Amino acid sequence: MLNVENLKKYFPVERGVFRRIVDYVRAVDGISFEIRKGEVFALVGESGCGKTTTAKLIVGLLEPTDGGIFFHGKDISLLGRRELARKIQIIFQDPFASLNPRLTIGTIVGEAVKHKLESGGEKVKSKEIRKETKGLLNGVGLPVNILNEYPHQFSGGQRQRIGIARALAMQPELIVADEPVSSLDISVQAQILNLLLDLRDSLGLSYLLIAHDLNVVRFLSDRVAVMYQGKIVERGSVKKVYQGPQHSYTKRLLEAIPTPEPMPIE
Amino acid sequence: MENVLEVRNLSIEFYKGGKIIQALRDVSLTLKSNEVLGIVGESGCGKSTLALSILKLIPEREGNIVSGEVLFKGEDLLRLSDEKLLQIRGNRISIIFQDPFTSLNPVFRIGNQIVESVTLHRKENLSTHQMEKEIIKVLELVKMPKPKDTMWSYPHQLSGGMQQRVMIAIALSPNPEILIADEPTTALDVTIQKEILDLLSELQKKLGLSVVLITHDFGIVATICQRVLVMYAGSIVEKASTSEIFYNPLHPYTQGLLESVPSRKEPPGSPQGGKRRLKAIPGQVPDPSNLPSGCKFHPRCPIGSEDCKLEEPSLIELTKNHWVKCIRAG
Amino acid sequence: MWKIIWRRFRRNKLAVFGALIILSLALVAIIAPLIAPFNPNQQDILHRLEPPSVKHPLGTDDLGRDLLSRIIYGTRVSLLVGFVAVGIAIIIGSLLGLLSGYFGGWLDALIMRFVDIMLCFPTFFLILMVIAFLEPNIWNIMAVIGLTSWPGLTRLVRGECLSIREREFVQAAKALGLSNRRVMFVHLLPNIMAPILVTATLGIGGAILTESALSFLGLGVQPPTPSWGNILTAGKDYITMAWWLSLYPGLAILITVLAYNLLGEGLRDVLDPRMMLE
Repeated sequence: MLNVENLKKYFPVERGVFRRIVDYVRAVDGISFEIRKGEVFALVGESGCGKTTTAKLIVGLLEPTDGGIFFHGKDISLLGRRELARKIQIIFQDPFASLNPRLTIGTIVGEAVKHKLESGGEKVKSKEIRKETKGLLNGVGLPVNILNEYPHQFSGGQRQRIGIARALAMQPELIVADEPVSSLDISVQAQILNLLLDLRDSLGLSYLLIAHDLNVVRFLSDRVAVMYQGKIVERGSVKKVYQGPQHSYTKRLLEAIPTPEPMPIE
Repeated sequence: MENVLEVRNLSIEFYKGGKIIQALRDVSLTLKSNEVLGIVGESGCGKSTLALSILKLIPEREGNIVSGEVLFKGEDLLRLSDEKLLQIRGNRISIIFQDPFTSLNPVFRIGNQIVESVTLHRKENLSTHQMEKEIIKVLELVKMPKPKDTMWSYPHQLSGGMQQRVMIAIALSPNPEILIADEPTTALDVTIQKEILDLLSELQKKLGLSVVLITHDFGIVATICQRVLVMYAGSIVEKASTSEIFYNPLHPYTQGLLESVPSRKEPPGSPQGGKRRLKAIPGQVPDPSNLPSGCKFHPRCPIGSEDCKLEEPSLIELTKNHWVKCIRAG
Repeated sequence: MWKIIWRRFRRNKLAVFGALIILSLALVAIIAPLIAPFNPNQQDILHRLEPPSVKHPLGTDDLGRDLLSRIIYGTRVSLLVGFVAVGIAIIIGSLLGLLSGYFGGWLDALIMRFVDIMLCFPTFFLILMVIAFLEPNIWNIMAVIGLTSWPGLTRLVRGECLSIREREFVQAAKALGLSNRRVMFVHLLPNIMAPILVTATLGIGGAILTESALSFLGLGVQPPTPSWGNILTAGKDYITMAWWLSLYPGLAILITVLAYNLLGEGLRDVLDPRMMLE
């Protein structure tokens, strides 16, 4: 469904008064992978490996320096913004920064709904927008009477749900989840992980999961690719990679996870 | 093994926007010498407040010590004069925090910052040469690669892991009896985290330190802590040895937390069709300025009863050295 | 949300003080005809240069006009110039700053070079030159002050844009495919309002001072229309004999500018950065 071929993103480093380009930061250095319909594909790695940059490239927030991203065979750089937005959406890590603090929940989710409904160019009644917004909020487990409230009145987990509702408003096929639970408390993490799975089952979604928590990845994903310094060093089904890692970096990563299994004393 | 630190009935309140927040409610704990005690909890449970309170680091205009004592070798730290407290802070009891980058002063070289700690507490006048030797000694203690280079570097030139090593160096150079570590690895990558934890574990054994390790990650607790305290809404709800907590959790909150973490026991890969989900605790952590009556966990508790709403239970020793704050546990 | 701002505002005594003064001044300006005891242009040569008395609480000027009434009417000029000039500056400055900060690239470079050039000129002399060519009247003054004070604001807005542009909620809006216009005005702008408001409020004080200076030099509001600045012009010739002609308009300027500065500083405390926390 999603095909990434030899994707590259280099950021120029400028020096001097005339801002000459002296070097490039090779954030993403020639990666290729594919995501099948209905699957959860994870991209793991530590900070600086390029996974967040990859996420932004796929959603269209950044333009690739080289390589191509294809959705159902079509190059996404040829799609209009709204068209792309209806196919691929994103949810972010920080629930506090991902919602505009000056807008009400109704506007945050509603403007997405409005944007989707008005793709034909006609005006849509606000009643319809409200109805669909409430439906979305309900679908992520939030009460529907919060349209006039502001983000700061909600907890991290609730804000994350609002962010998910907003992404779902466009009815995408693929959702890029950039560290969706890293900033949340453990008990809330579990709720959101369950929610993501439920939505996958009920809406037929696919996910590109970007994460550094290997336990979460193991639980949520079908296939995984390990990134290191902009390149993919290992990929495969979760079972294969976790139980029989090939690359030394993957082995180091897996060994480093602290296991919640203490040695019994006495 | 005697108790090197004892907290008795500590209660702390904050004032924010006209509301009273009970950050710590009647918390008691003991720390033995040469042991690693873990404190686990989610945001708002009071674990960081507890860490700061032990060293009386909460400014008076923000928080108020309602009651309680913090006994270090028999002396109540909360009632010591500022002078005497300064001799203990960073000297007999050290603390390291989550983000090493903000704990280090960006305009001073690493060597200078380590030396501060050394000269302040040792009260000796060391020559430059001697100071350099001390710095290198302490950097070698924390296994810093290339200690000479590091000494002359600025904080921003070091990676997160190296910065945290520097923090540990600063904290341990005066050879304290207790180290409080508040989420020391949360901001670090997982491979670096392992290195830092291994280092802490090794240093603890080598120097005979007692460590209070505050974290939200059960994996970390399982790896290096001997005893664990689980906190919720400002008080301790379960207290036991690490293996007891993991293999025999008695408080419903602890049980819920353990089940919320995706574990290795389950088969890998995405669960299909609603069959396998994490057993999540419903609802969210209560607003600290508006706590529920009785047991603070009862609104979210799977085995809560009407009695749970009436009165907050006390911490009772249900089995040997395993304390639980729940009337329905066991 | 606005309730929180209001509450914090109320607690900041200086800001409230400033606001009250400004409100009173605005009131005075609006109901000037009702409260001025005399027609400000009514001359009475027989009673020229009279010191403050019961009939003329602030005295009379060199043409026998009641000073109190002239100062009251002068309020209108000052406040009008303050608002309109700063208004022009805000609109131009914010727009250019937003475009610059949001789009970056060549547009940003172009606008910023333009700003750099504008900032090279000493504003006051630039204004003097322009007014010397044009006719000195209140509309020209407002326009010129506004058109010379926008560059600083552009830099400020651009800076804020750059820092907020990368925040996740802006990224999310872009990912939704919303139009650039919507992202700029619905998402970026409201989050930048705070420093803009503060700068604007402080700028009003500056604009009033500039207008007073221009009027003092004879290049601003022309007599007989009273402006605190041109009253001072008359006052300077009679300083030893009629001190009230210099003192009272001077005080008026002082109090007004002070009030705006207090309000501006107070707003700065109230709005930033605790706003961000909530």
